[in-house]
Amino acid sequence: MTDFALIPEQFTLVEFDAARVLELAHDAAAAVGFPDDVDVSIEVDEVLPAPLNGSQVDVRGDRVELWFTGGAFEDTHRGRILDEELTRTALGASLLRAKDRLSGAFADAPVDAELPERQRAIWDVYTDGRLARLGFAVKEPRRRYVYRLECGFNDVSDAEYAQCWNAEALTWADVKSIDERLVAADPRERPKRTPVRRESLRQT
Amino acid sequence: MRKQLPPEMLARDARFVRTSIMDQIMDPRNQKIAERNTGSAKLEPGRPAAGDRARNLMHGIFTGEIQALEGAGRTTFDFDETEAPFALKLDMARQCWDEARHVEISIKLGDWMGTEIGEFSEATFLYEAACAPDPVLRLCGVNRALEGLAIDVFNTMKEFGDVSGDPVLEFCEDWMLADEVTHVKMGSDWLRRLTADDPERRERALEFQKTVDKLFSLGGFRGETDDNPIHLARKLRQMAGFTTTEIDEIADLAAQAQADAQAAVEAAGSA
Repeated sequence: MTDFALIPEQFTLVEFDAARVLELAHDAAAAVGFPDDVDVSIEVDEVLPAPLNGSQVDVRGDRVELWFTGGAFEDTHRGRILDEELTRTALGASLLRAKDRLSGAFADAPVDAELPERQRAIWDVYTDGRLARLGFAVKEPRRRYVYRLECGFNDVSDAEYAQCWNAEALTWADVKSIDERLVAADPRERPKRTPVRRESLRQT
Repeated sequence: MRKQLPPEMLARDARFVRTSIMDQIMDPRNQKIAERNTGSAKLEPGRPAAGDRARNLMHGIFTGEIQALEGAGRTTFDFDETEAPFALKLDMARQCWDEARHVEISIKLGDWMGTEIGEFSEATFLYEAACAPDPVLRLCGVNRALEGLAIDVFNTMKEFGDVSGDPVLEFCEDWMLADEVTHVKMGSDWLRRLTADDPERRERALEFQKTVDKLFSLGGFRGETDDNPIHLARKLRQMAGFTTTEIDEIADLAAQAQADAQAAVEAAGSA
């Protein structure tokens, strides 16, 4: 069974039950077929609320480090309260992306801190499509809108979205090819992006 | 049928969850977030989690439109014709039609942006401004303050749609924005007419508007700096009949509201 470590061990600013978060992590790991022999740390930055939702996955040797904003686990109706369904899905998504990295199919991908937003958006669609088919509670329309913001409101973008959503075995090379086609079809000026990144948001 | 309906009696189905704006302002995370480098707060496609921020705001617009409909509707019913002339009630009825259309547009925009009805909580402070016992106060609180805020919010969302290349958002916000300009003008017009011979009543109404404007600035939600997600739409406010002095006053009130909220958070943190 995968060994999970939660950081912090207890929450002080939000009313998340640490033991329940770990249970949900075990459950999500089993559901996505995460390898048993890889240790995982889950860091939750409880200062950062919804809608500042973000996550990051790092693979360091045979260990995986997951990072989340508190908002990624937070009930959208009641601030500072854990939404178990949302948490299970957020954990499942990051574990699936970690599994992609561990598989070698995404070996050439930059680390999450340096991953361009559009490529991350493509990878997130591929992840959510698989999660939905595994029975996780995924808000597909939300994913589509966030993807369109990054990749463009056009027919090419929508066609690529459908392919990514239904894909079962993409590689990093596939993501880069999709990205190139999206860039070619996107007439917008690219605004300077400030993505949700652990490194920048930690700064004071 | 009851007159002067309090906010807790507004009809909502099980999808809607109420929240208090004070809960958000007094959230213990606020002070610590302020210490982080989250950059400009203005709602722009380049900001962190811009998609989820926009979805959240769009849901706030949707619930705000419901409450604006309820507020204008109440004004057609709560007063007799000595308090509110029939022509004023006709204007309010016309506004109800606009607000109902805005609710429908907002639901469709929610669908477009991947947001379900009731996905985010609802604060009823907009409707609360429509509970004043004097129709002139309501016109100032709702048509001039609330609808003025709507101009700022819709303009920000329109720009968001424009920059992100979202044709649906940009188009819908532009159309709703045009209606809001009319609603503000309507409020200004009735304020003048109903208080033409009563300068004290006009003064009370304008004071009430200032209170509502400060409240609607939501401790920094609206303003003119990078710390404010929503920016004052000066040009559109001028088109709606606000003078430069009035707009400057709203900007000052917004800055004051932000300073008050920061002081409250700091006091809560040190308590």
